[in-house]
Amino acid sequence: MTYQSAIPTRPDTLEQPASQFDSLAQQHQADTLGMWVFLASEILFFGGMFMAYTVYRTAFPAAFEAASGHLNLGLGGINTAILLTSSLTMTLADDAVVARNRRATAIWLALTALLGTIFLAIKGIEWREEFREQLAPLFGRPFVFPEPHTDQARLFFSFYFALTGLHALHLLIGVVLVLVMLIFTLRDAPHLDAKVIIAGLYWHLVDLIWVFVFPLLYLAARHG
Amino acid sequence: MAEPTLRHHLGIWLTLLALLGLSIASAFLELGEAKAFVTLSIAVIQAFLIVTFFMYMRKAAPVPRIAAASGFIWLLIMMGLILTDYRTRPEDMMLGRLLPEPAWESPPQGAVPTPLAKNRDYGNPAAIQPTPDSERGEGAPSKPDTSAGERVYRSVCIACHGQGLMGAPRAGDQAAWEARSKAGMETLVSHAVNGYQAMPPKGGHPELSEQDIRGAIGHMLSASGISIPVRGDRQD
Amino acid sequence: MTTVPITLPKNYLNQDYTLWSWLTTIDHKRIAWLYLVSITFFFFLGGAAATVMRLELATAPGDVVESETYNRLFSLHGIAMVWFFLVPSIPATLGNFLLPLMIGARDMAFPRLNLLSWYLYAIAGVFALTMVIAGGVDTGWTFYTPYSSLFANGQVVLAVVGIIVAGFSSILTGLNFIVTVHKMRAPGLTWMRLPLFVWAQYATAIIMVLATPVLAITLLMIALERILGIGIFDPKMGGDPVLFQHLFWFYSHPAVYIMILPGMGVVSEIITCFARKHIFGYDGMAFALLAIALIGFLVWGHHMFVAGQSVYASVVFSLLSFIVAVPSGIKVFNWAATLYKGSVSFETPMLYALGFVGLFTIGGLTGVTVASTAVDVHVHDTYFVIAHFHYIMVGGMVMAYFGGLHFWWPKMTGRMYPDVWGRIAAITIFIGFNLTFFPQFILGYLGMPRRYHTYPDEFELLNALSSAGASILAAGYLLPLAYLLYSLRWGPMAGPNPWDARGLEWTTPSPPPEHNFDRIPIVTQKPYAYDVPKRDSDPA
Repeated sequence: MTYQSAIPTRPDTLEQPASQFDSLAQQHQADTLGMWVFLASEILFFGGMFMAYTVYRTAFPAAFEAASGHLNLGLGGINTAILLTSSLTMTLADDAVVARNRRATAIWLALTALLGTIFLAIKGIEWREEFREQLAPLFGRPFVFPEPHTDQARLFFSFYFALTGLHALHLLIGVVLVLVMLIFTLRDAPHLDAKVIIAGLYWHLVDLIWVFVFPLLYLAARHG
Repeated sequence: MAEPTLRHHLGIWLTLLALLGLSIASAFLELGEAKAFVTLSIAVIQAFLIVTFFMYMRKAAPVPRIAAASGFIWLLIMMGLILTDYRTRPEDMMLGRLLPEPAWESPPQGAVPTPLAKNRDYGNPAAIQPTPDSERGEGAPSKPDTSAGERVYRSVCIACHGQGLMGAPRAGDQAAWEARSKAGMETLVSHAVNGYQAMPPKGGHPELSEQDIRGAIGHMLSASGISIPVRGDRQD
Repeated sequence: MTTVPITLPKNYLNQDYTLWSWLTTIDHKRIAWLYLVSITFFFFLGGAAATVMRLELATAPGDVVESETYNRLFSLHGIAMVWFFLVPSIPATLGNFLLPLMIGARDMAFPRLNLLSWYLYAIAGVFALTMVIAGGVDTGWTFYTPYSSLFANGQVVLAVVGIIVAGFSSILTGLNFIVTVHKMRAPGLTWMRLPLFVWAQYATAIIMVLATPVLAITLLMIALERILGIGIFDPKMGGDPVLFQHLFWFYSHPAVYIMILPGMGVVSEIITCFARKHIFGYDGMAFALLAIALIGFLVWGHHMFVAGQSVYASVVFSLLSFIVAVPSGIKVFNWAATLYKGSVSFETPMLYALGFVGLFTIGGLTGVTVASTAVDVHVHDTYFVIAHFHYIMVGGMVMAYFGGLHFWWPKMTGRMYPDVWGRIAAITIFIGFNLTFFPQFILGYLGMPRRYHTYPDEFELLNALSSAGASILAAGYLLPLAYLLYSLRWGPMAGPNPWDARGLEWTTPSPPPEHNFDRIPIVTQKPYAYDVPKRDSDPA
């Protein structure tokens, strides 16, 4: 039952495990496994919507291709790069916290939260653009699509708003989580390394989901 | 194991960005059907890099690895079995094939009356649009109105007669309708209105008029290539 | 208040008596009680709906309630019973209470998360009750589109949000179980020494974690369709209502195994105890549980044979469904083999357990029947299906739940209930259940469809029998409520191990102390050593 933990624990630590655990190593292994089980269920949570999208995209390839062309590929691409970068800063925060460098941890965490916020801001700009072009079939607003297959394009945009909205919600939770970690870092909370690394796992998963959302939605179109 | 260095992380990050560039570039190429495959394969590689290096799977114990893998494996189970259905449906049942003419209009939300309200009026779900009395010709029975009949057929009867469920004669099955048409139009109408074997009265839609039923039968007959003398036919 | 003559040793119940101490507890044993009280409420709520339905169906004309009210009643019955009673029933009460005790742990791996699960459940319950007060839903518990998306007249959004929240409660419970079983076992307690109850909870937890999120997203899409007005399953835009069924049953078929696997775990514990024998084929029993959990994910399409699914997919799903019968059969045969030449005694828990085996077998065999593509076309959406799944869920899971509750009640409360009343209740429930649901097999085979509040006169006799049985069943369910509550105050002290059972949970005092074990036990042998003479030095 003793295998290595994903969290590099330091033998010289003075921290005590929570009362239900025998050792800090056991606690860290449990925390890591718990997060991974949660992430597995998150994969299936988004997976259900990816599934529905896949069915419709294979049924209406032309309509989805046309509708995808109305998304802002530039902003979408920039946002993807931002999220990938935020994963890098999160990993650097992990390294810093393991090295017990609180100052560096705080900086990297702050940067991660900032990148997440920029992502959300750009996403907001995109949504506003789509609302203006009457491509948002929400709340009974008119949906105007200048090409054929209006109804199925509407289906595409239903998925676009549902998927990106759900992802944005997860990212918002991620930003709050990272900010909480930042506060923990500034206060030098106990078990800080485990907390930051496990929060990081969630952050990376949100990034990973976007890595699939981006090609499915933005790259379905015929460009060039 | 040596602690991962900053350079190592930067390497992964640059690879991820390069793959993103590649993915966007491939979207501009004429790849046709293969495009989704290419862009999604790149996404899988990116995901693999994130999971392996940023999420420390490389160093993880077996159980978290199994946990992570099962998320993806179960997703594949779901996709595999659902697509088994969609990929093997008969041509006329394919999603998308039925679409060019939507069979019915969805009612706007709230348009269906609340049945608990006092003046209950199920009568008019916009879905079915039975012919209003005012538009009906004087003196039924009359010639079946096959265009209205087609509408009724597509919204109601198709549920069973479309594929021939529970012994229902399939619209378009000439032999099956030939045998039934021998009983005469009035018998068919009365069976359909009052119910016959597995067929519920009025196909389970009491809001339909006899005229609607008549039209739908007419449509199914003509779709099966049968013309049948009807009492209202004399003038023609 | 007079002075207490003797001081009881400190245990988890008498630590603190305030309501606040209950609502903020992170002790798995107290959280089990929070669940026990809340699911009992929903059990009787769902039961009340069922009572009105059987009252309506006692006679052919629709004279008690209107058809619309009837729709709302069966929807309420399904929603309350499935998501607010059956899914959390054994895992969240007995599982929460026993899992750490059985594996020699001080608590679950994540005690706070455990409490959060209950609060999520409570919030979901508030949504469900608001939905009921605001008029209910008329879609049935399945929320099939387009009933739920375009045509529903009820509070669909309240209902689905409640179920999504309940779903997350169940995901967190499952997560906690998985991590606890992996990481918190006592020294020496290897996987092949785990009690089958723990195996069953573990298999259940896997399903909870991997299936429930799909239900959550599916119902979320319904909610979005109604709140935002987008159309994901709307045929007008090219949406496919059958896709909803696929996604829904991807959860809801495995959910049937969420509802039966814990029962199998309970019954294995009870049968081996009251047959005074080691369980027959332990390894096969453990792997059968995992096999059911896994194969259970591959069979959902058998709910959709007449829904427009392609025939090829139907054949695949039908064959896969037959395979589930194999591990289920292994379990039934092994229970029978455990009883063989055992010193069987018939205390209350054993009566429930034996009832479970018989009724589950009938439910399982009729399950194979309805999984056959051709037969299903005839009996689909008839009372045959109703009878089939009530044999699994009520005859199976509820029997097992009551059996487990009676088996571990002395451990949970430290007191014994009157065994005579227990046996009377068990027999009443068994008779009432069969009288209620067996006629429904015949009704369904004759063609009576489900979900109608009126029916042709020729079905009246069988329906009257069924309603009569339901009243016996209702009396049978009220009995335990009475005598178990009575025992809380007036029952005799039970002692640590009233059944002379094996297992770590019986080595602690009843009720157990707050931290379960004064010293973490060391396990040296396989479970169920009933045929080995017990030595004082053996912890289990």
